[in-house]
Amino acid sequence: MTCYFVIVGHNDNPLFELDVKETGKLDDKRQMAQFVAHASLDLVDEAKFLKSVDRFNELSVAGFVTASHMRFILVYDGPKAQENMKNFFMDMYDAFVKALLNPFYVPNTPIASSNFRKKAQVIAKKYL
Amino acid sequence: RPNTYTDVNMGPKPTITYHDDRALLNAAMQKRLQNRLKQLQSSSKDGSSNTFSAFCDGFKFVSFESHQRSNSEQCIFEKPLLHTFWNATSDVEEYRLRTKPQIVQWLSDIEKLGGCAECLVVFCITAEVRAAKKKVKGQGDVEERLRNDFKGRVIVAFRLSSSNDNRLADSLQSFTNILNDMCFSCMEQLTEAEAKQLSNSKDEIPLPNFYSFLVRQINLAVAFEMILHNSDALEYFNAASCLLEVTLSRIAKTNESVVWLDRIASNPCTSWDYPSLIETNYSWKYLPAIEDGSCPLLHIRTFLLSRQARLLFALDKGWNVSQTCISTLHAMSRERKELKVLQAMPVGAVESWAYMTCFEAIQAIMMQSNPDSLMSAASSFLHVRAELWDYAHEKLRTLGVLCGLMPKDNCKTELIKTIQSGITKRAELAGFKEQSSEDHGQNLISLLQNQQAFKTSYLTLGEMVIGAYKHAGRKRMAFKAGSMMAEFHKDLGLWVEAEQLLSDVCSYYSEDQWSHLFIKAYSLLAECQNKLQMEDKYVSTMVLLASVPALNIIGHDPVIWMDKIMQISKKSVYQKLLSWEPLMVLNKIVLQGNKTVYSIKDEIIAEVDLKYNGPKEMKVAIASMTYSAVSSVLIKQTSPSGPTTAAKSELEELNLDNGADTLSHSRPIGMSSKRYRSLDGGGSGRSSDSKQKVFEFYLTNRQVVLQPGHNKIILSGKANALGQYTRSKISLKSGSLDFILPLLDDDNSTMISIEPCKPGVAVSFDSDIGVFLAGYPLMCTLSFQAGSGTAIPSKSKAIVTFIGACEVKLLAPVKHTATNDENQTEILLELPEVLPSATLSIPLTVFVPAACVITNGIDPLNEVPIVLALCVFNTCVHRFM
Repeated sequence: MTCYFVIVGHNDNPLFELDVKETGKLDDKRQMAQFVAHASLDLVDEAKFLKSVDRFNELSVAGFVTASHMRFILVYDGPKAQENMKNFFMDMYDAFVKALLNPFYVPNTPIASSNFRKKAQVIAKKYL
Repeated sequence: RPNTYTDVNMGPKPTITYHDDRALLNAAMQKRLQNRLKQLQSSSKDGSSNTFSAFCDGFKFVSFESHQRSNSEQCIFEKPLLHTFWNATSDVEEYRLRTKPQIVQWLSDIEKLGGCAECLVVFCITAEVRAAKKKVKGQGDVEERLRNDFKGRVIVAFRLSSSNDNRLADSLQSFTNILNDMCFSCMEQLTEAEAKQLSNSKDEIPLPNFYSFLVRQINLAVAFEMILHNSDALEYFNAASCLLEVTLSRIAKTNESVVWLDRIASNPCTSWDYPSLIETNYSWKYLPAIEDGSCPLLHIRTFLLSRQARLLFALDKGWNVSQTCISTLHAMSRERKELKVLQAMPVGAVESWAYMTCFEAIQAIMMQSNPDSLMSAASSFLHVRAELWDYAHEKLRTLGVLCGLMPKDNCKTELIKTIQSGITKRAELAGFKEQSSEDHGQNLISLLQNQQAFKTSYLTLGEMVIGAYKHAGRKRMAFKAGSMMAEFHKDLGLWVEAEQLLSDVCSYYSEDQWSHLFIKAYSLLAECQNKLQMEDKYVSTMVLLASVPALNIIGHDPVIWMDKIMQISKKSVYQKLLSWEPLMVLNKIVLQGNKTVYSIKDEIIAEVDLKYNGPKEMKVAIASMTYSAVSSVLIKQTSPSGPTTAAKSELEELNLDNGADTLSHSRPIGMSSKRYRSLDGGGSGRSSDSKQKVFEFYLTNRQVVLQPGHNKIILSGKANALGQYTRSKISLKSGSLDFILPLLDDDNSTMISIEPCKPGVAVSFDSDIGVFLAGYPLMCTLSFQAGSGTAIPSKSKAIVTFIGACEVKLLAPVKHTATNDENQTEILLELPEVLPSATLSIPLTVFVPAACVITNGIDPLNEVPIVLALCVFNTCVHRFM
């Protein structure tokens, strides 16, 4: 099962990536997920709100744009309840805002905090 | 279960039963009625009038006896909507003894059958009846008795004979309207009741009963569509499609065995025609099998998509067709992959079906959409088209892989034939009508013929996709398509095209820092450049790859790239200039002591802090940092005819043998080996060659080894010329590779000055006549000459003391104050700026009274010390031109 989450910064740079079903070795599926997520930025920019923005074969893409134009992209396969995805994005947004409040974090740079990663994994497990 | 549709391409028809033992409703009569009813149906396309949809193409007349005998359960739209009893009894006794009991029995049978269908007694006014009416005046004719006996029932007189044709026509029209209205009303009731039932039961549907529930939904949607309630019909079709997708997904997750799914999966899938979204009537052929559960899943999806498309166009929502189409294609693809029971489907069937459907959708949108809305939503159409083409392209690629049509694969002829056999050409379809739309089945069959045909189609479609996305403003998707096309070109051996596509793609990815995409794209690019022997670009690409850590990515080993770079570095015959980043990142440069001013003899030491991102150590033969002079000098050659006056902007080389050393203008610092003076800005006409010369010096270190991570390199050197310098670049040379990092400081914040060890100023005081005479004002010149490396700044102070009570008058506009007493005269001068190698000459007059000399007892003719010039410069800042 594929479930890949990425936060994309203002310069289209990925700030945070999470493979919900981490298997260790990053294989073609992960690469395909990144491929699809990157391409779907076109649609997220147009959509500007949470919805299912794109599909590629069996992979679907959901997007969420924050007030500061950070893009949250979720690439997944299989049907997922809209409500669950919305809750996931909201909780991730909450965690992201808290990460931004860290005075040592430079905005628009990769989020390396292990704490944030753990939070993301917990949220993903809860809703996805 | 018999196929109850008389015409395979026509939809279900509203059903009317008839009880007729006099053959009143014969073939000719039915034909007349059908023509009239078809007219009614085709006259209205929306739900504004109570007519049935044109696809019904008339009504179906079924004898009441056969309806009674029929044991099979009928779906909602097959149920009779009206029961008719036809009679043309002219004799009252016959009516009393025979017809009336028949009607009573008929009504009783209808009641036993149940249902909400109305009953209609049709009293046909034939010629016999007309004649009988004339005879039975005042005694009540059959019609009158009929109406009296069956009050509350609907009884219609239908004129079959008349002296006036208009009356016949009116009667036919009125009769068919009644038929239509009664059937319509009944269908509305049926659909309402069914919708209510379904909404009550949809919350808890056990999985084994799901399929029957699904079929009920589909049938209800069809019934709504029949009565032109398009919104309701679409709602139920969408619900059915969604429910099917969700249920199948649930089954795939839980992997449970379900009877109805097993049955569907066991139905052999021998055809995978694409849903006709233009001639949607073709889809009706699937409906009986769907109701039976005797068709494959692909046909269910085909049917649903056709109906949804037709309704969307009818509701002027043609744009949603693409979204519905894409959703369906994705769902089918996923189900095929995830459901084990569907694994028996022929390989390539779903891909072929999806490929053809994409083109059909684009064509349908173009042909069926309102032209005005098409124009106004042109940009949406661009997006839609790009998405569908992209999906088709992806499916074509999959087909190519499956059938062995990709480059370097072997053709799988058997599979190709199987796939082709499941596609029906439009012209061969039953009920085919000449149409203007393209036959996508035929196209697919043709391109699967051989590798050449496949390659042409794949490349053409790929270019269309890239162009469409670019046109639609979706760059990233265009690049995604470009990546896949590049791979195909590479496999075909079209290295140049692949390299061009990848160069575009790679430039985008490097900005975005998407590591996987970056690595894959650049690896391919490196392969192409190596093949094309583009050594410079190949090395640049490898440098980029070597700087990315392994990241646990399969197939990516930066050490291997680094080794290749080093091999080329050793073998290459000419230097390659490469950028530092991303292999090396400069953190900071610190000059030892943080000094900005150095004397010409000082050694300058700089510490360069950099991060080396390579995977292993790299030996650098020489590391250097270049300091360039702040100003440059334009040199012009001149004939050795002597010095001339000059302006500041240009220089003239002087003949050093001339001996003349009077320079009245600035001279750039650093040119210690030659002497120049400035030329007239307009050009003296004597110059021949001119060239730009930039003065530089280097701080260097040799045999540096860079280790992965942070490195500090100490560079040292000495300036070879005076002046102001700013650092211009850092270079690291390793074999034939020169890694250059330009350092551009716009505000000169890193400027350093190289100054002489000590300032050089010469002061001279001369008399015009060579001697001093007392009692006579003498013209003299006080000169301040700055050395080649020294400048006297403006407002420097000089004190000149004259022994004795002299009168000194300055003839030049130099600020000064004089203090006199009987022993000395002191002049305090505020000097203007004196540039290096320039001389400030101040003419003045000095008057020494003779009496002063005699008073001191000095021989007036010998060694009279008149002047002692003491120059004190209270500021001495070194500046350089």
